[in-house]
Parts: sequence; C-alpha cells; structure tokens
Amino acid sequence: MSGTVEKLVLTRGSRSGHLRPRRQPVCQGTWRCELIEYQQVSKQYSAKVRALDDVSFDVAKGEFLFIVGPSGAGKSTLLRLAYREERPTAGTVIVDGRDVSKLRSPAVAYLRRNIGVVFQDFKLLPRKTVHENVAFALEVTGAGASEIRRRVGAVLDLVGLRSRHRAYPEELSGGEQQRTCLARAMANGPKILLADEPTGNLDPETGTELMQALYDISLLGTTVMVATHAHSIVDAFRCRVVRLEKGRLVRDDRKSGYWGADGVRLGYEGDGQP
Amino acid sequence: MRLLRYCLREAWLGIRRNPFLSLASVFTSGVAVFVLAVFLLGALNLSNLIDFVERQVQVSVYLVAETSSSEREALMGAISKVEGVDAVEFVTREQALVRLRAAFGDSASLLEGIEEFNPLRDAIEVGVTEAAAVERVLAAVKDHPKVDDVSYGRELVARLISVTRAVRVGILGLAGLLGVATLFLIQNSVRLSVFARREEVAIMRLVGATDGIVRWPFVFEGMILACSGAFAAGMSVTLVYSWITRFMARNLVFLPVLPAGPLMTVLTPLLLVAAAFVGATGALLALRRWLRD
Repeated sequence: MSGTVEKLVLTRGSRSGHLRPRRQPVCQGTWRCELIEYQQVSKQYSAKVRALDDVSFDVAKGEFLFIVGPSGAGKSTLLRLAYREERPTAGTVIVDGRDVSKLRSPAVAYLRRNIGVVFQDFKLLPRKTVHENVAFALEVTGAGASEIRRRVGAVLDLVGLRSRHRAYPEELSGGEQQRTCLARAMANGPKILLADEPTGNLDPETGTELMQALYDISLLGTTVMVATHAHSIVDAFRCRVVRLEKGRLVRDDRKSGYWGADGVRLGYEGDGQP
Repeated sequence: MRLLRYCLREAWLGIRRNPFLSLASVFTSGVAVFVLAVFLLGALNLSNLIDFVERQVQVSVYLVAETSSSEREALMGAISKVEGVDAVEFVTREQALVRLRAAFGDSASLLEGIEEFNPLRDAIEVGVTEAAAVERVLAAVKDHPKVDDVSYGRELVARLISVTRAVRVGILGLAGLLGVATLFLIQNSVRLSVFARREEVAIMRLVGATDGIVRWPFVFEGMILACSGAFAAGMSVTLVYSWITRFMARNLVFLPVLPAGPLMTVLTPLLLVAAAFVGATGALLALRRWLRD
C-alpha cells in the first residue's frame, strides 16, 4: 500500500503535563507503510484441522486493528504466525520487511524483542513480583541494571501499576495482572503489540479500560493487533476490523473503504456478531 | 559479563526456588558418582593386584650341564630381548641349593648329605611384567640345544592370562555403562528442573531471549548440582578409602593396596570435571525439547 496515512500522536504538553493529540504523517510518498503483511497465508495443523485458509491483509505502522471471529476461526493462529510461534503451511508472513518463516533461531529472538504479546491467561511468573516479571523481559536481552530500573518504572507508570511493583501475581486482581502482562509486553519498546483475547478473563468494565490502554499505546506509535470476540468492546472503538470465519478472511474494513479521505479512522460499525 | 552474571544468578535462583528437587539432584548425582568412584577404586586396585601377581610369575630355564659361559651369555641376551621380560638372572646349582636350604628353614637338616650329589641344575631365572610374556620366553628358548627344561606355573599363567583379559574388558565395559547411567540420572534430574520451569522457558523465548540465554542458566544449574553431588561423593569415598587402606596396612599386609592420598588427589578432581561435563550435557539434552523451533 502506498500513499499517505496519518495518525494521531499524543505529545506531552509543556505546562500541563497532559497528553494531547497531534496529527502526524506516518509515512508518505513511495515509502511502504505496512509493518505486517499476510500474503495468501494458510496454516494446516493436521489433515482435518485447517486453522487459516488463504488469508491476505496488511497492517500499517501505528494502526490499531481488531481481529474478530468465533472461537476456532484462526485468530490466535494469525497472531502466533506474526511472532513466529508458528510457521505458515503456505504463503508468507512479513513483519517489518522480513519473511518471518525464514528467520533462524537468533533472528527470531530479535524479532520478538520488537513484538510485545499479551495473553488471555496473562502468563506471569508466579514467583516473581510485578517489577521482576516486567524486568525479566529486559534482563534476557542483556540490558543493564540502571536501564532496567528506568524502563520498568516507565512502563509501570504507563499502565498505572507503579505502586504495586512489589506485589506477586496472586496478590493482584485480574485487571492488574493483565496490566502487568501489558507492561512486560511494552518493556522492550516494541513496534508491534499483539493481544490475544486480552479481556477474556476480565469483567466488562476492566476489559474496556484495558482496551483503552491498548488504544492509547497505539496512539503513541505502536502497531496494535487485538484478537477478540468481545463485540461490545469492538463496537465501542471505531477501528478497523478484520473478521475470520473457519480460517477464511470474510471482512476487512480497509478493503471496504475503512479509511476516510483525511486519514481519520471511520471505524467499525458493529454487526453484533464479531 | 552482565549476561554471565545474569545466568549464574538465575542458576542459583533456580536451585533455591526448587530446594527439594535440587537436593534430589545433588543426592542422585552424589550416589551415582559415589558408585562410580567405588567401582573405579576397586578396578584400579584389582588392576594393581593383577600386575602384582603377574610380576610374581617367574620362568626358570634349566641348562644342560655342559653349557659354556659364552653360550649361557648368548642365551641370556636373547631372553632379555623378549618383550615383557624385566629381569634375567643366572643362578648356579650351588646358589640354588643355598636358597633351598634357606627355604626349608628349621627343617634344613633334612637336606644333610645332599651337597655331595647336588641334584639341582644351573638355571636362568626370568622375571616378566605380564603373564602373556611367559609364552614368548618359552618360544624363544624351547628349541635351544643347551636348554634342558623350562619350568613355570603353567596352570597359574594360563588362568592369569584369561582372567586378566576378562577383568580388563569387564572394567572398561562396566565403567562405560556406569558413566552412561550417571549421565542419564543427572540428565533426568535436570530435566525435572527444566520441566518445573517450562512456563518460564516459554516466556523467556516469548520476550526475545536467545536460545543461549535460555540455555546457560540451566547448564550452570546442572553443573553446580552435579559437581556438588560429586564433591560430596569424592569426600565420602576419600574418607572410606583412607580407612580401608589403613585397615589393610595393619591386617592384610601381603595384599598391595594403592595409597589413598595420591590416588584421591587425582581421582576427586577428575570426578568433578566428569560430573560438570555430565551435568552440562544432561542440561543440554533436557533442554533440546524445549528449544526446538
């Protein structure tokens, strides 16, 4: 895709310290804007289980995107292909200009440092505190102690958990655990954030708050892909939606004129069955 | 350096977080190394004993009466060139009688009057380093015109040759088997440790840890656990073996036993190095499954 896509960026106001939106061109002219490209991707787990069937779409830098569809539609597989937890049976997945299925082991590790992942079941280490869980993502990259302290503090501020940094996961509410997971995903300052049913274990109010946090992160320049079937939340956000059914792409708002002429997201008109 | 510190810290944390599992690993590797060390000590001593017994084997080459000294010298020269011969000595019949008398001790009076018709013969006594050399000495002298007869413990030598060969092959085979068993025991305990932390491994990979960063803490952990067990086993074996050597020195003087001090100073570090190697290999084997793409 070429052309100009604009996105809103939040900048900190010099006096008030509040975040305020600023419109900024993301890419222009002949630059490629896609950060993730699925090209005729199929994934077959066994002779009978076909998770994805010839799926093609792109995700632009800084975009916020919902992937919706019933259970077993292939949403999680789509995300797992992006961070190379799976390889496609056919087709190509390109992330940040590189075909991920061709990456060797060390390159996969470096790819994942640019991709944060949030799970429905949080996947926090029970014997580490909030701070340690988040710091873990930086330690394994070889970051220094002072850098780890600084960045963990920053992401805990971002998700509003600074005061709970010494708590263990079992002492946290579901929403707090999910925000810890989000902080860990953001610790390395990833270009892409993938969330797989992030609100699945949360009550509707906490779920909406978390989704708002994800949306705010996308406004800061990170590409966010959220797989969900919480249609009430999808309805509330006017964002691009990609819909899968039985592994096939059945709807993509971008193809159906989702972007407005001025680059503002026109949004998703909920059809009540995401 | 920072990563090394991280890996060592994680290894230590891994051990502390699973104290029972770690203790079980230390105990398992300790027992395995203890058994291996006891076996090695037994094998080394047995080998030493076999050497000792083999050195006791002597071949006596009896010469016909009319052998000149030059013929005798030539024969002795030929025998000393045979592989495995370490001593060649000429014993006159008079010297042989003196020895016989000494051997009879208090009953030497039985030999009175024998001097006048000394029935003994001049002989060349050949000392060998291994039982198999007897055959070679025999081959070298049996057709010599001046050789009257050759005597050696035929039965003893034949048995020694077959026994020593079997024992040495057995020692090598058993040591190999025990080594492999130790490897599997330690690998299994490291695998349990990895299994207990499979979630952590999955998350490490998810947040961008390279395989090396995932691997090294476990490798260090495996090495630390295996070495701790080996160290404890080495100390216990040293104590027990020192006691045995002291006991043998007091009560079974005729049995040669390798001294504890020098032997254990060599054996303990060797066991530690072997345990470290086995611990690291065990960890790598255990991790293979979790690091597969």
